[in-house]
Amino acid sequence: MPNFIRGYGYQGGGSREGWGRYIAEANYGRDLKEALSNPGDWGFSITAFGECLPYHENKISLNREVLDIYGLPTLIMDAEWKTNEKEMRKDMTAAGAEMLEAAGLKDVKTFDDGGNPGLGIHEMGTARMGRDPKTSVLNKWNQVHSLPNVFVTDGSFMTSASCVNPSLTYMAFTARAANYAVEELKKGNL
Amino acid sequence: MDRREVLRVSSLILGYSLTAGTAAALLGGCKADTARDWIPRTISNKEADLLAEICETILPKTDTPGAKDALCHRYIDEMVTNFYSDDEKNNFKSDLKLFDDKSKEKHSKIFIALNSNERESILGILSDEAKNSQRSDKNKSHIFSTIKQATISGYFTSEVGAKGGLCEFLPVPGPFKGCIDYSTVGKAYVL
Repeated sequence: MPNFIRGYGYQGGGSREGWGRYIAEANYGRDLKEALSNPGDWGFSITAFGECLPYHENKISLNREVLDIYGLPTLIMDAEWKTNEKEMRKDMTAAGAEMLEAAGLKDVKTFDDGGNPGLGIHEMGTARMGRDPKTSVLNKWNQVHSLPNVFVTDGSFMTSASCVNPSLTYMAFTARAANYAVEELKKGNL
Repeated sequence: MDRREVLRVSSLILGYSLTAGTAAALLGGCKADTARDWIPRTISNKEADLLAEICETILPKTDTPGAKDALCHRYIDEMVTNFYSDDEKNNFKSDLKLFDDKSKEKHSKIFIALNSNERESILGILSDEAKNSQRSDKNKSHIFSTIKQATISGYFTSEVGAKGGLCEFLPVPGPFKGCIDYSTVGKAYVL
């Protein structure tokens, strides 16, 4: 049994090397052109994406000591991977290699580049959804607990950064929140 | 090359590592100015002439277009102008002198006065230097490597280079065919 909770997925594929492969080599001239006129070797790689659990300690806050050029506070980003993510990474690596080898690939090499928080590109969290205003910012309708006329429908309502692309989920939640807002407006509640 | 670095960059862009300025230029849509009355923006006219010949030695005109046809030297001037810091610009210009320095040392002439064999020998010396300097300092790109990677990326991202026959230009690769006769593939590959 793996010693972590939640899950991960893989993305990847195979391709042939293009003209970039000779950039680091020392060759030049006719030889280089000849070499560049043919496609290079095949390569195949997969990359794993895993879920980061919803840690309260992983947070952003405003830094009022350091201001930007407009005199506005700058951002302090305070986040780290914890044991669950680190254990998951080990499993991702081992299972990835196992799959590739089982598929008949040779010379399988694994690596773990650390992948700091933020490199997944899909920003999630910081205005989390929840039932309790003491521990969350938004209610189940993406509505700010303390400010009913404010809805937050980007990725910030998510409590954890899951392992799949979240954009469609953002859109679905946005449609749902907008629908709710319109109905509440019609009822005169907003 | 560092495998980790290769894999990291490959998942991002193209399958190989570039220096920051070249990668930024490539992603930033840097392209050569094709105007008839072009004047270089950062390097001097003389430096542009030298650079054009260096690029041409790296990718000479054969039965397919060369680096000069693809205006690689203009691409590089554009790249240096828009994507290099002031320090990097100065370093680029002073490092460019290496080509003339080596040419004078070996053949008592400046680079553009050399014949093609002599030019290739100078590139040979500098490419060896580049190899050694890469080993000693991974963070600093030797002028040969800088020009070579910019020449190749400038060439293949230009219309002349992409359509000139060295590769088969496929702007949209088309449908996915899971099982085809390998011999029909030819040299098609896309950026």
